[in-house]
Amino acid sequence: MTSPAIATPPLEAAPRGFLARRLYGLLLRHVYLLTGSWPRLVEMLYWPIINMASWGFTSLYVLRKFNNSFAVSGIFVAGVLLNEFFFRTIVGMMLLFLEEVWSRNLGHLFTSPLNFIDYMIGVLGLSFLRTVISVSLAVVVASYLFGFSLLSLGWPLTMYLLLLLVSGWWYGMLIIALLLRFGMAAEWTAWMFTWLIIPLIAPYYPVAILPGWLQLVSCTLPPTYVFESMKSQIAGNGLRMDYLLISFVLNIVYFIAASLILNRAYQGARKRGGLLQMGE
Amino acid sequence: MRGSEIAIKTSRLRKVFDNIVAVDDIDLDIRVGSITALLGGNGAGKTTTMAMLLALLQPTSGDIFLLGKNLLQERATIARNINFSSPYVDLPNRLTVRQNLTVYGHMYGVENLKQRITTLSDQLHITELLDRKHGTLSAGQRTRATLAKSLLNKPRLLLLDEPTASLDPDTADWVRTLLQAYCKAEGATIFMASHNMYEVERMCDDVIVMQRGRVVDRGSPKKLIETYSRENLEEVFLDIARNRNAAT
Repeated sequence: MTSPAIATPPLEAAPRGFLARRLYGLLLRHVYLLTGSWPRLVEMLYWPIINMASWGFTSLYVLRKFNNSFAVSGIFVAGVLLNEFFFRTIVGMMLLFLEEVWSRNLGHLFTSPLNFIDYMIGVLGLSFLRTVISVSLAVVVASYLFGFSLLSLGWPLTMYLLLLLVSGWWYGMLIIALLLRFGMAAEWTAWMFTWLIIPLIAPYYPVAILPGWLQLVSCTLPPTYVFESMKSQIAGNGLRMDYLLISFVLNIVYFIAASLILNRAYQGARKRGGLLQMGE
Repeated sequence: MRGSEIAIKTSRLRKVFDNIVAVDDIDLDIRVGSITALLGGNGAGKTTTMAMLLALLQPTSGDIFLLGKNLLQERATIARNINFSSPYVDLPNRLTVRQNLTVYGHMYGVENLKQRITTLSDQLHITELLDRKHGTLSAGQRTRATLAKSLLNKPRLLLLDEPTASLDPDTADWVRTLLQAYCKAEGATIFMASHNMYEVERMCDDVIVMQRGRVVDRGSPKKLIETYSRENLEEVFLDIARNRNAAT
Protein backbone atom coordinates (compact mmCIF):
# COMPACT_ATOMS: atom_id res chain seq x y z
CA MET A 1 0.00 0.00 0.00
CA THR A 2 1.45 3.35 -0.93
CA SER A 3 0.33 6.58 0.63
CA PRO A 4 -0.36 9.57 -1.58
CA ALA A 5 2.41 12.12 -1.92
CA ILE A 6 1.95 15.14 0.30
CA ALA A 7 4.04 18.21 0.72
CA THR A 8 5.60 19.32 3.98
CA PRO A 9 4.98 22.92 4.95
CA PRO A 10 8.07 25.06 4.37
CA LEU A 11 10.59 24.78 7.19
CA GLU A 12 10.34 27.60 9.69
CA ALA A 13 13.31 29.75 10.57
CA ALA A 14 14.74 29.19 14.03
CA PRO A 15 13.04 31.28 16.74
CA ARG A 16 14.89 34.15 18.40
CA GLY A 17 17.16 33.10 21.22
CA PHE A 18 17.46 29.56 19.88
CA LEU A 19 21.26 29.54 20.26
CA ALA A 20 20.88 30.51 23.94
CA ARG A 21 18.37 27.70 24.39
CA ARG A 22 20.71 25.13 22.83
CA LEU A 23 23.54 26.30 25.08
CA TYR A 24 21.19 26.21 28.07
CA GLY A 25 20.43 22.58 27.19
CA LEU A 26 24.15 21.82 27.18
CA LEU A 27 24.59 23.63 30.50
CA LEU A 28 21.71 21.66 32.04
CA ARG A 29 23.23 18.40 30.83
CA HIS A 30 26.39 19.05 32.88
CA VAL A 31 24.60 20.60 35.86
CA TYR A 32 22.44 17.46 36.11
CA LEU A 33 25.53 15.29 35.82
CA LEU A 34 27.43 17.13 38.56
CA THR A 35 24.53 17.48 40.96
CA GLY A 36 23.59 13.84 40.50
CA SER A 37 27.10 12.54 41.09
CA TRP A 38 28.72 13.74 44.33
CA PRO A 39 32.09 12.04 43.57
CA ARG A 40 32.38 14.28 40.49
CA LEU A 41 31.54 17.36 42.54
CA VAL A 42 33.99 16.46 45.33
CA GLU A 43 36.72 15.66 42.82
CA MET A 44 36.27 19.06 41.24
CA LEU A 45 36.94 20.82 44.56
CA TYR A 46 39.39 18.33 46.04
CA TRP A 47 42.51 18.51 43.84
CA PRO A 48 43.00 22.29 43.85
CA ILE A 49 42.86 22.29 47.67
CA ILE A 50 45.24 19.32 47.98
CA ASN A 51 47.75 20.86 45.56
CA MET A 52 47.52 24.24 47.23
CA ALA A 53 47.99 22.75 50.72
CA SER A 54 50.99 20.61 49.66
CA TRP A 55 52.81 23.51 48.04
CA GLY A 56 51.72 25.97 50.70
CA PHE A 57 53.15 23.89 53.54
CA THR A 58 56.33 23.28 51.52
CA SER A 59 56.74 27.02 51.13
CA LEU A 60 56.16 27.56 54.86
CA TYR A 61 58.90 25.04 55.60
CA VAL A 62 61.30 26.83 53.24
CA LEU A 63 60.33 30.15 54.79
CA ARG A 64 61.04 28.97 58.37
CA LYS A 65 64.09 26.83 57.64
CA PHE A 66 65.97 29.36 55.57
CA ASN A 67 64.53 32.47 57.13
CA ASN A 68 63.52 33.56 53.67
CA SER A 69 61.29 36.43 52.71
CA PHE A 70 57.52 36.17 52.86
CA ALA A 71 57.56 36.73 49.09
CA VAL A 72 58.79 33.17 48.51
CA SER A 73 55.75 31.76 50.26
CA GLY A 74 53.48 34.15 48.35
CA ILE A 75 55.00 33.12 45.02
CA PHE A 76 54.43 29.47 45.81
CA VAL A 77 50.82 29.87 46.87
CA ALA A 78 49.91 32.34 44.10
CA GLY A 79 51.72 30.07 41.63
CA VAL A 80 49.70 27.07 42.77
CA LEU A 81 46.39 28.91 42.62
CA LEU A 82 47.00 30.48 39.20
CA ASN A 83 48.39 27.22 37.88
CA GLU A 84 45.29 25.42 39.16
CA PHE A 85 43.16 27.98 37.33
CA PHE A 86 45.03 27.23 34.09
CA PHE A 87 45.20 23.47 34.60
CA ARG A 88 41.56 23.07 35.71
CA THR A 89 40.43 24.92 32.57
CA ILE A 90 42.23 22.33 30.43
CA VAL A 91 41.00 19.38 32.50
CA GLY A 92 37.47 20.82 32.53
CA MET A 93 37.39 21.02 28.73
CA MET A 94 38.76 17.54 28.37
CA LEU A 95 36.29 16.07 30.88
CA LEU A 96 33.32 17.85 29.30
CA PHE A 97 34.19 16.18 26.02
CA LEU A 98 35.06 12.81 27.56
CA GLU A 99 31.72 12.69 29.40
CA GLU A 100 29.98 12.68 26.00
CA VAL A 101 32.33 10.03 24.66
CA TRP A 102 32.00 7.81 27.75
CA SER A 103 28.22 7.96 27.52
CA ARG A 104 28.29 7.43 23.72
CA ASN A 105 26.19 10.55 23.39
CA LEU A 106 28.03 12.29 20.54
CA GLY A 107 25.61 10.87 17.96
CA HIS A 108 22.59 12.40 19.68
CA LEU A 109 24.39 15.70 20.32
CA PHE A 110 25.55 16.27 16.77
CA THR A 111 22.31 15.26 15.11
CA SER A 112 20.49 17.83 17.25
CA PRO A 113 20.42 21.48 16.16
CA LEU A 114 23.54 21.97 18.28
CA ASN A 115 26.40 22.29 15.82
CA PHE A 116 30.09 21.88 16.59
CA ILE A 117 30.70 25.61 16.97
CA ASP A 118 27.78 25.88 19.44
CA TYR A 119 29.17 22.90 21.26
CA MET A 120 32.63 24.40 21.56
CA ILE A 121 31.20 27.76 22.73
CA GLY A 122 29.35 25.77 25.40
CA VAL A 123 32.47 23.83 26.36
CA LEU A 124 34.52 27.04 26.71
CA GLY A 125 31.85 28.64 28.91
CA LEU A 126 31.29 25.52 31.00
CA SER A 127 34.99 24.93 31.52
CA PHE A 128 35.26 28.51 32.82
CA LEU A 129 32.37 27.94 35.26
CA ARG A 130 33.86 24.64 36.44
CA THR A 131 37.23 26.28 36.98
CA VAL A 132 35.83 29.22 38.95
CA ILE A 133 33.91 26.85 41.24
CA SER A 134 36.85 24.49 41.50
CA VAL A 135 39.51 27.09 42.37
CA SER A 136 37.38 29.47 44.47
CA LEU A 137 37.34 27.17 47.48
CA ALA A 138 41.12 26.68 47.25
CA VAL A 139 41.54 30.49 47.24
CA VAL A 140 39.50 30.75 50.45
CA VAL A 141 41.41 27.87 52.09
CA ALA A 142 44.76 29.45 51.10
CA SER A 143 43.74 32.66 52.78
CA TYR A 144 42.77 30.76 55.94
CA LEU A 145 45.81 28.42 56.07
CA PHE A 146 48.60 30.65 54.84
CA GLY A 147 47.28 34.17 55.26
CA PHE A 148 47.74 34.75 51.53
CA SER A 149 44.93 36.32 49.59
CA LEU A 150 45.07 36.02 45.83
CA LEU A 151 43.13 39.27 45.71
CA SER A 152 46.22 41.02 47.14
CA LEU A 153 47.59 40.90 43.58
CA GLY A 154 45.11 43.67 42.82
CA TRP A 155 43.85 44.58 39.37
CA PRO A 156 46.61 42.68 37.50
CA LEU A 157 44.96 39.49 38.82
CA THR A 158 42.13 40.01 36.32
CA MET A 159 44.64 40.10 33.47
CA TYR A 160 46.48 37.05 34.78
CA LEU A 161 43.23 35.08 34.99
CA LEU A 162 42.02 36.16 31.55
CA LEU A 163 45.31 35.27 29.90
CA LEU A 164 45.47 31.91 31.68
CA LEU A 165 41.86 31.19 30.77
CA VAL A 166 42.54 31.74 27.07
CA SER A 167 45.70 29.63 27.34
CA GLY A 168 43.69 26.83 28.98
CA TRP A 169 41.11 27.11 26.22
CA TRP A 170 43.48 26.73 23.29
CA TYR A 171 45.41 23.96 25.00
CA GLY A 172 42.13 22.19 25.84
CA MET A 173 41.04 22.55 22.20
CA LEU A 174 44.24 20.79 21.12
CA ILE A 175 43.53 17.95 23.58
CA ILE A 176 39.98 17.55 22.19
CA ALA A 177 41.43 17.59 18.66
CA LEU A 178 43.77 14.78 19.70
CA LEU A 179 40.82 12.75 21.02
CA LEU A 180 38.77 13.40 17.89
CA ARG A 181 41.66 12.34 15.70
CA PHE A 182 42.76 9.19 17.53
CA GLY A 183 39.65 8.30 19.53
CA MET A 184 39.69 6.75 22.96
CA ALA A 185 42.99 5.02 22.17
CA ALA A 186 44.50 8.44 22.87
CA GLU A 187 42.81 9.00 26.23
CA TRP A 188 45.94 8.33 28.28
CA THR A 189 48.05 10.32 25.86
CA ALA A 190 45.60 13.19 26.32
CA TRP A 191 46.04 13.01 30.10
CA MET A 192 49.83 13.02 29.65
CA PHE A 193 49.59 16.10 27.43
CA THR A 194 47.52 17.97 30.02
CA TRP A 195 50.40 17.56 32.50
CA LEU A 196 53.22 18.05 29.99
CA ILE A 197 52.87 21.81 29.79
CA ILE A 198 52.99 22.45 33.56
CA PRO A 199 56.77 22.20 34.21
CA LEU A 200 57.43 24.19 31.04
CA ILE A 201 55.46 27.28 32.10
CA ALA A 202 57.41 27.62 35.38
CA PRO A 203 54.56 28.41 37.76
CA TYR A 204 56.61 28.19 40.99
CA TYR A 205 60.18 28.87 39.90
CA PRO A 206 61.93 31.30 37.58
CA VAL A 207 62.25 30.29 33.93
CA ALA A 208 66.02 30.76 34.36
CA ILE A 209 66.09 27.54 36.43
CA LEU A 210 65.22 25.49 33.33
CA PRO A 211 67.96 24.12 31.06
CA GLY A 212 68.72 26.39 28.11
CA TRP A 213 66.77 24.46 25.49
CA LEU A 214 63.75 24.16 27.77
CA GLN A 215 63.88 27.91 28.37
CA LEU A 216 63.44 28.34 24.63
CA VAL A 217 60.36 26.09 24.70
CA SER A 218 59.07 27.89 27.78
CA CYS A 219 59.36 31.26 26.05
CA THR A 220 56.95 30.12 23.32
CA LEU A 221 54.18 29.46 25.88
CA PRO A 222 51.86 32.35 26.88
CA PRO A 223 51.31 31.23 30.52
CA THR A 224 55.08 31.50 31.17
CA TYR A 225 54.86 35.29 30.83
CA VAL A 226 51.92 35.49 33.21
CA PHE A 227 53.80 33.57 35.88
CA GLU A 228 56.98 35.61 35.35
CA SER A 229 55.00 38.81 35.78
CA MET A 230 53.28 37.44 38.90
CA LYS A 231 56.63 36.47 40.45
CA SER A 232 58.07 39.86 39.63
CA GLN A 233 55.07 41.61 41.17
CA ILE A 234 55.15 39.60 44.42
CA ALA A 235 58.91 39.95 44.72
CA GLY A 236 58.38 43.73 44.62
CA ASN A 237 59.98 44.22 41.21
CA GLY A 238 56.78 45.48 39.64
CA LEU A 239 54.27 44.27 37.13
CA ARG A 240 55.69 43.22 33.73
CA MET A 241 53.27 44.72 31.22
CA ASP A 242 55.66 43.79 28.41
CA TYR A 243 55.36 40.14 29.41
CA LEU A 244 51.58 40.34 29.56
CA LEU A 245 51.49 41.87 26.10
CA ILE A 246 53.62 39.03 24.70
CA SER A 247 51.30 36.53 26.42
CA PHE A 248 48.27 38.25 24.89
CA VAL A 249 49.66 38.18 21.35
CA LEU A 250 50.83 34.55 21.62
CA ASN A 251 47.41 33.57 23.02
CA ILE A 252 45.61 35.10 20.05
CA VAL A 253 47.89 33.32 17.58
CA TYR A 254 47.60 29.97 19.39
CA PHE A 255 43.83 30.28 19.87
CA ILE A 256 43.33 30.79 16.13
CA ALA A 257 45.72 27.95 15.29
CA ALA A 258 44.05 25.60 17.81
CA SER A 259 40.59 26.46 16.40
CA LEU A 260 41.76 25.54 12.91
CA ILE A 261 43.36 22.30 14.11
CA LEU A 262 40.22 21.39 16.09
CA ASN A 263 37.97 22.07 13.11
CA ARG A 264 40.19 19.90 10.94
CA ALA A 265 40.05 17.10 13.52
CA TYR A 266 36.24 17.36 13.69
CA GLN A 267 35.89 17.29 9.90
CA GLY A 268 38.27 14.32 9.85
CA ALA A 269 36.12 12.50 12.43
CA ARG A 270 33.06 13.16 10.25
CA LYS A 271 34.87 11.69 7.27
CA ARG A 272 35.95 8.57 9.16
CA GLY A 273 32.69 8.06 11.04
CA GLY A 274 34.46 8.74 14.34
CA LEU A 275 31.48 10.54 15.89
CA LEU A 276 29.44 7.34 15.82
CA GLN A 277 32.18 4.92 16.73
CA MET A 278 33.80 6.89 19.52
CA GLY A 279 33.10 5.38 22.91
CA GLU A 280 34.52 3.17 25.61
CA MET B 1 5.43 28.90 -0.38
CA ARG B 2 5.00 25.20 -0.84
CA GLY B 3 7.27 22.69 0.86
CA SER B 4 8.87 19.63 -0.63
CA GLU B 5 7.01 16.45 -1.60
CA ILE B 6 10.20 14.51 -1.23
CA ALA B 7 11.42 14.03 2.33
CA ILE B 8 14.76 12.44 1.42
CA LYS B 9 16.56 12.78 -1.86
CA THR B 10 20.07 11.62 -2.51
CA SER B 11 21.87 11.77 -5.79
CA ARG B 12 24.91 9.66 -6.53
CA LEU B 13 25.62 9.34 -2.82
CA ARG B 14 28.92 7.61 -2.30
CA LYS B 15 31.12 6.80 0.66
CA VAL B 16 34.55 5.26 0.45
CA PHE B 17 36.59 4.30 3.53
CA ASP B 18 40.21 3.95 2.47
CA ASN B 19 39.73 1.70 -0.56
CA ILE B 20 36.46 0.12 0.55
CA VAL B 21 33.29 1.35 -1.13
CA ALA B 22 30.65 1.31 1.62
CA VAL B 23 27.94 3.15 -0.34
CA ASP B 24 28.15 3.16 -4.09
CA ASP B 25 26.40 6.02 -5.92
CA ILE B 26 22.91 5.50 -4.54
CA ASP B 27 19.93 7.60 -5.59
CA LEU B 28 17.06 7.71 -3.12
CA ASP B 29 13.79 9.57 -3.19
CA ILE B 30 11.54 9.05 -0.22
CA ARG B 31 8.07 10.58 -0.36
CA VAL B 32 6.75 12.78 2.44
CA GLY B 33 4.36 10.86 4.68
CA SER B 34 5.73 7.44 3.81
CA ILE B 35 7.31 4.82 6.03
CA THR B 36 10.30 3.35 4.27
CA ALA B 37 12.61 0.57 5.38
CA LEU B 38 16.21 0.15 4.43
CA LEU B 39 17.09 -3.54 4.39
CA GLY B 40 20.32 -5.36 3.88
CA GLY B 41 22.70 -7.80 5.47
CA ASN B 42 25.69 -6.84 7.59
CA GLY B 43 28.02 -4.59 5.63
CA ALA B 44 25.35 -3.72 3.04
CA GLY B 45 25.78 0.00 3.72
CA LYS B 46 22.61 0.73 5.75
CA THR B 47 24.36 2.24 8.77
CA THR B 48 26.69 4.26 6.57
CA THR B 49 23.71 5.60 4.61
CA MET B 50 21.86 6.48 7.82
CA ALA B 51 24.94 8.20 9.27
CA MET B 52 25.28 10.31 6.12
CA LEU B 53 21.59 11.30 6.27
CA LEU B 54 22.17 12.36 9.88
CA ALA B 55 25.23 14.45 8.88
CA LEU B 56 27.36 12.41 11.26
CA LEU B 57 29.35 11.10 8.33
CA GLN B 58 30.55 13.17 5.41
CA PRO B 59 29.88 11.62 2.00
CA THR B 60 32.82 11.12 -0.33
CA SER B 61 30.62 12.52 -3.08
CA GLY B 62 26.97 13.13 -3.94
CA ASP B 63 24.21 15.31 -2.57
CA ILE B 64 21.63 14.89 0.18
CA PHE B 65 18.40 16.87 0.36
CA LEU B 66 16.19 16.50 3.43
CA LEU B 67 12.76 18.15 3.48
CA GLY B 68 13.75 20.06 0.37
CA LYS B 69 16.96 21.53 1.79
CA ASN B 70 20.56 20.68 1.04
CA LEU B 71 21.88 18.93 4.15
CA LEU B 72 25.45 20.12 3.78
CA GLN B 73 24.41 23.75 3.37
CA GLU B 74 21.36 24.05 5.61
CA ARG B 75 21.85 21.53 8.41
CA ALA B 76 20.84 24.05 11.08
CA THR B 77 17.35 24.53 9.59
CA ILE B 78 16.90 20.83 8.86
CA ALA B 79 18.09 19.62 12.28
CA ARG B 80 15.16 21.24 14.12
CA ASN B 81 12.74 19.25 12.00
CA ILE B 82 14.27 15.81 12.10
CA ASN B 83 15.25 13.41 14.86
CA PHE B 84 16.61 9.93 15.27
CA SER B 85 16.78 6.95 17.53
CA SER B 86 19.15 4.04 17.62
CA PRO B 87 19.78 1.38 20.23
CA TYR B 88 23.48 1.77 19.42
CA VAL B 89 23.71 5.47 20.34
CA ASP B 90 23.06 6.01 24.03
CA LEU B 91 21.65 8.87 25.98
CA PRO B 92 23.74 9.91 29.00
CA ASN B 93 23.46 7.05 31.49
CA ARG B 94 23.86 9.13 34.64
CA LEU B 95 20.99 11.46 33.83
CA THR B 96 17.41 10.51 34.57
CA VAL B 97 14.99 10.00 31.71
CA ARG B 98 13.29 13.31 32.57
CA GLN B 99 16.64 15.13 32.63
CA ASN B 100 17.66 13.69 29.27
CA LEU B 101 14.33 14.69 27.74
CA THR B 102 14.64 18.18 29.25
CA VAL B 103 18.18 18.63 27.93
CA TYR B 104 17.25 17.55 24.42
CA GLY B 105 13.98 19.44 24.55
CA HIS B 106 15.95 22.65 25.02
CA MET B 107 18.42 21.71 22.31
CA TYR B 108 15.57 21.21 19.84
CA GLY B 109 13.79 24.37 21.03
CA VAL B 110 10.61 22.50 22.05
CA GLU B 111 7.77 24.75 23.23
CA ASN B 112 5.78 23.76 26.35
CA LEU B 113 8.48 21.25 27.12
CA LYS B 114 7.07 19.93 30.41
CA GLN B 115 3.73 19.23 28.77
CA ARG B 116 5.41 17.54 25.81
CA ILE B 117 7.43 15.29 28.14
CA THR B 118 4.26 14.35 30.04
CA THR B 119 2.40 13.53 26.82
CA LEU B 120 5.21 11.43 25.39
CA SER B 121 5.80 9.62 28.68
CA ASP B 122 2.16 8.71 28.68
CA GLN B 123 2.23 7.51 25.07
CA LEU B 124 5.40 5.48 25.51
CA HIS B 125 4.48 4.16 28.98
CA ILE B 126 7.59 5.59 30.63
CA THR B 127 5.94 7.85 33.21
CA GLU B 128 7.12 5.64 36.07
CA LEU B 129 10.65 5.66 34.62
CA LEU B 130 11.01 9.42 34.34
CA ASP B 131 13.02 9.82 37.53
CA ARG B 132 15.20 6.79 37.02
CA LYS B 133 18.69 7.10 35.61
CA HIS B 134 18.95 6.02 31.98
CA GLY B 135 21.79 3.63 32.86
CA THR B 136 19.58 1.69 35.26
CA LEU B 137 16.91 0.92 32.65
CA SER B 138 16.49 -2.41 30.91
CA ALA B 139 17.26 -2.57 27.18
CA GLY B 140 13.55 -2.33 26.30
CA GLN B 141 13.00 0.63 28.63
CA ARG B 142 16.00 2.40 27.10
CA THR B 143 14.57 1.87 23.63
CA ARG B 144 11.33 3.57 24.73
CA ALA B 145 13.18 6.42 26.46
CA THR B 146 15.27 7.01 23.33
CA LEU B 147 12.13 6.90 21.18
CA ALA B 148 10.62 9.58 23.45
CA LYS B 149 13.69 11.72 22.80
CA SER B 150 13.29 11.17 19.06
CA LEU B 151 9.66 12.38 19.12
CA LEU B 152 10.26 15.42 21.38
CA ASN B 153 10.36 18.00 18.60
CA LYS B 154 7.52 16.43 16.58
CA PRO B 155 9.96 15.71 13.76
CA ARG B 156 8.79 15.83 10.18
CA LEU B 157 11.42 13.26 9.34
CA LEU B 158 12.24 10.49 11.76
CA LEU B 159 15.27 8.29 11.15
CA LEU B 160 15.10 5.08 13.13
CA ASP B 161 17.61 2.32 13.53
CA GLU B 162 15.96 -0.89 14.82
CA PRO B 163 13.05 1.02 16.42
CA THR B 164 11.72 -1.94 18.37
CA ALA B 165 15.02 -3.58 19.33
CA SER B 166 14.85 -5.31 22.73
CA LEU B 167 11.09 -4.76 23.09
CA ASP B 168 8.83 -7.66 23.99
CA PRO B 169 6.28 -8.56 21.27
CA ASP B 170 3.42 -6.75 23.00
CA THR B 171 5.37 -3.53 23.58
CA ALA B 172 6.87 -3.72 20.09
CA ASP B 173 3.37 -4.01 18.67
CA TRP B 174 2.00 -0.87 20.29
CA VAL B 175 5.20 1.05 19.54
CA ARG B 176 4.67 0.24 15.86
CA THR B 177 1.07 1.36 16.10
CA LEU B 178 2.18 4.55 17.83
CA LEU B 179 4.75 5.32 15.14
CA GLN B 180 2.26 4.69 12.35
CA ALA B 181 -0.31 6.89 14.07
CA TYR B 182 2.30 9.63 14.57
CA CYS B 183 3.25 9.48 10.93
CA LYS B 184 -0.36 9.80 9.83
CA ALA B 185 -1.34 12.52 12.28
CA GLU B 186 1.70 14.74 11.69
CA GLY B 187 2.25 13.97 8.01
CA ALA B 188 5.72 12.87 9.05
CA THR B 189 8.07 10.58 7.19
CA ILE B 190 9.82 7.62 8.77
CA PHE B 191 12.96 6.14 7.30
CA MET B 192 14.13 3.10 9.21
CA ALA B 193 16.67 0.34 9.20
CA SER B 194 15.44 -2.92 10.61
CA HIS B 195 16.23 -6.59 10.63
CA ASN B 196 12.73 -7.43 11.79
CA MET B 197 10.97 -8.47 8.56
CA TYR B 198 7.60 -8.78 10.24
CA GLU B 199 7.94 -5.20 11.41
CA VAL B 200 8.89 -3.99 7.94
CA GLU B 201 6.03 -5.90 6.33
CA ARG B 202 3.56 -4.48 8.78
CA MET B 203 4.70 -0.86 8.93
CA CYS B 204 6.30 0.10 5.66
CA ASP B 205 4.92 1.44 2.40
CA ASP B 206 8.23 1.06 0.69
CA VAL B 207 11.29 -1.14 1.09
CA ILE B 208 14.76 -0.44 -0.24
CA VAL B 209 17.14 -3.38 -0.31
CA MET B 210 20.87 -2.75 -0.22
CA GLN B 211 23.71 -5.11 -0.94
CA ARG B 212 27.41 -4.25 -1.04
CA GLY B 213 26.68 -0.55 -0.97
CA ARG B 214 24.16 -0.57 -3.82
CA VAL B 215 20.38 -0.50 -4.01
CA VAL B 216 19.51 -3.87 -5.51
CA ASP B 217 15.73 -3.84 -5.23
CA ARG B 218 12.88 -1.64 -4.20
CA GLY B 219 9.13 -1.79 -3.83
CA SER B 220 6.29 -2.23 -1.40
CA PRO B 221 6.55 -5.35 0.80
CA LYS B 222 3.66 -6.87 -1.16
CA LYS B 223 5.29 -6.19 -4.51
CA LEU B 224 8.63 -7.64 -3.42
CA ILE B 225 6.96 -10.79 -2.08
CA GLU B 226 5.13 -11.19 -5.39
CA THR B 227 8.21 -10.51 -7.47
CA TYR B 228 10.23 -13.15 -5.65
CA SER B 229 7.23 -15.53 -5.43
CA ARG B 230 7.71 -15.92 -1.71
CA GLU B 231 5.47 -16.19 1.32
CA ASN B 232 6.93 -13.33 3.27
CA LEU B 233 9.59 -10.64 3.31
CA GLU B 234 12.03 -12.74 5.29
CA GLU B 235 12.22 -15.23 2.44
CA VAL B 236 12.70 -12.38 -0.02
CA PHE B 237 15.52 -11.05 2.13
CA LEU B 238 17.20 -14.47 2.15
CA ASP B 239 16.86 -14.74 -1.64
CA ILE B 240 18.54 -11.40 -2.11
CA ALA B 241 21.22 -12.07 0.51
CA ARG B 242 22.02 -15.41 -1.14
CA ASN B 243 21.97 -13.92 -4.63
CA ARG B 244 18.94 -15.89 -5.81
CA ASN B 245 17.16 -14.03 -8.58
CA ALA B 246 13.61 -12.75 -8.54
CA ALA B 247 11.03 -15.10 -10.07
CA THR B 248 10.20 -12.72 -12.87
